Amino acid sequence: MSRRLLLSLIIYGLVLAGLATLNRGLLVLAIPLVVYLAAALLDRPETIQLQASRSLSENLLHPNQPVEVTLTVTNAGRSLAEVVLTDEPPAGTSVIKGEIGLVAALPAGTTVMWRYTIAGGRGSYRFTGLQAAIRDRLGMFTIKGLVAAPGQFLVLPEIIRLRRVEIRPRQTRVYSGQIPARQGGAGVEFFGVREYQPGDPLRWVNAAASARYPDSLFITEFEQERVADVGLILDARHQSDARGAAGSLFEHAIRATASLADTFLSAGNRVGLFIYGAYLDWTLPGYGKVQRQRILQALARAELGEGQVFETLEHLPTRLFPAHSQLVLVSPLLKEDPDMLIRLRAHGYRLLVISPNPVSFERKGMGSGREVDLAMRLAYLERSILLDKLRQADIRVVDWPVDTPFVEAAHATLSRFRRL
Amino acid sequence: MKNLVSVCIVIAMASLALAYGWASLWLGSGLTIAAGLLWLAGERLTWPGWPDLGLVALLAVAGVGMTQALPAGWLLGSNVVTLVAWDLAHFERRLNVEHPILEEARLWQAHLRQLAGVVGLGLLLGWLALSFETAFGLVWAIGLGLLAIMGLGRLIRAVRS
Repeated sequence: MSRRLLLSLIIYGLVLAGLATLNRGLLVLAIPLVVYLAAALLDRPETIQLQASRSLSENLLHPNQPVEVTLTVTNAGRSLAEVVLTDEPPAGTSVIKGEIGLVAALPAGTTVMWRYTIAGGRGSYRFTGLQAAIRDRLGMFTIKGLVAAPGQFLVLPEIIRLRRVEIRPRQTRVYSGQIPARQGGAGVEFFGVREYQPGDPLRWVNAAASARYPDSLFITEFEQERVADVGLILDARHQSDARGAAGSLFEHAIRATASLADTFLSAGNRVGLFIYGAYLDWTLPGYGKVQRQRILQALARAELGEGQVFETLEHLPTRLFPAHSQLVLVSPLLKEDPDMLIRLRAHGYRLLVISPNPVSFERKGMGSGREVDLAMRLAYLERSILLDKLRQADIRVVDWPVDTPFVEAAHATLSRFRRL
Repeated sequence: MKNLVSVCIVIAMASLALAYGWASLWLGSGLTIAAGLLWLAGERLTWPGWPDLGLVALLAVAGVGMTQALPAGWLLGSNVVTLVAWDLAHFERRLNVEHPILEEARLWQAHLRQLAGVVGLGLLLGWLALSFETAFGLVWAIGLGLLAIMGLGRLIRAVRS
């Protein structure tokens, strides 16, 4: 029961008893209570006239890196006897240090400031404002409302440094890099032997070949190494995700995508990111550290989505990717996906599929039993058939059980390019 | 500040018990002391709802005392102290449940100032009402009754909203 109601009932009880018994004393007993209630009524707050602002110590963070939130609230109206200010940290964060709110008396024009520290996993976090509850001096009347204090921070995905990821797209760009370009020139790998042309470096002279033909001179050609266009495609379809006790397969996919982006960009390649889910999120290709930040921020904001249009990979907009470039798809894969991927391969794209294994991921959360074992065997068989279908189409596939660190899975399969 | 609440409860309880004792109504004294002690225990153990129960109990005892022609001034005084105890008990609970308090002393000072003013005015008006000798006849009863009905209507509207 609210205090106002209780006091009102007591006053009425005394007044009615006094009227019924014609006892003036009972009415007199009600007077202090009436004065108390009237004073609270006169002092009751009407509107919230607070101005708040927020500042964050960092806007771009790594997972579980703490961020300090500083709130400043100014009373732009009349004096307030009791103000309870409670901030609303975004869902998914946890408070590490400090308190999210405070209680204060705020005379007109004064400002209060306080800080607290929170941390969270990968994602995009937004603050809308803080809840303010203002009471009169006797605490009988309260008005509540939201005081706007927007803010945002991004927690970038964790990057695992990979040593090398070998790719061999058919087409490369003009800048030097680490990808064999199928053209002779300066390089490390042997490409061929040709006749000496004036201007060729003398150190390239192939003595063995030149000795067979005394009238001519031959030089060794090396394969040029250049950078290439790499298109990263992250599968953010809800139906392809698997959830287990350890979280979501999607988070593993994001970490793998971030690591691959970092590796390819560090090698000088031009990398673009495409997130395929409820809608299409395309980060235009670019080079270097700036592109790395763009991709990491896009991955920080990535969310699983469900959309009828993008249920399958049929609507993958291939015109966004340069012809004959390298595509890297990070996806647990669905039954219908191989057809589209084989079609992409047929169009000349080089495909690399990093597939977090949903079967082994979900297996961990299931109990044991004959039926479970049988179901798992069937699931593993289905998956093997699907992956073999891709491999037969000359698509490199990394079947990644996510309890194995990605760096190990990547090193075992991707550090050398093997023609299938 | 917990002590302030306890002191107010003890004063209210003692003044009511003394008023009953002065009129040799020992049952009333006993009930008053029991109600006061229960409220004190409730405060020590921070039982929810006890301040409201304590207020109702002691005000009811004061009301009954008024019908038994006990000293009106004493009953009025104990009424006011009971109200102060109830208010401070709620104030303390509000502050304990919420977040850290900035400048707690300033909050308490502002609250006590307001409470002192309100209680003082209530006591003064009550004392004036007691001193004002008039026959409480039908006209007064009808007038107050009409006021009570109008106020009741407003109260119901406020509760509904």
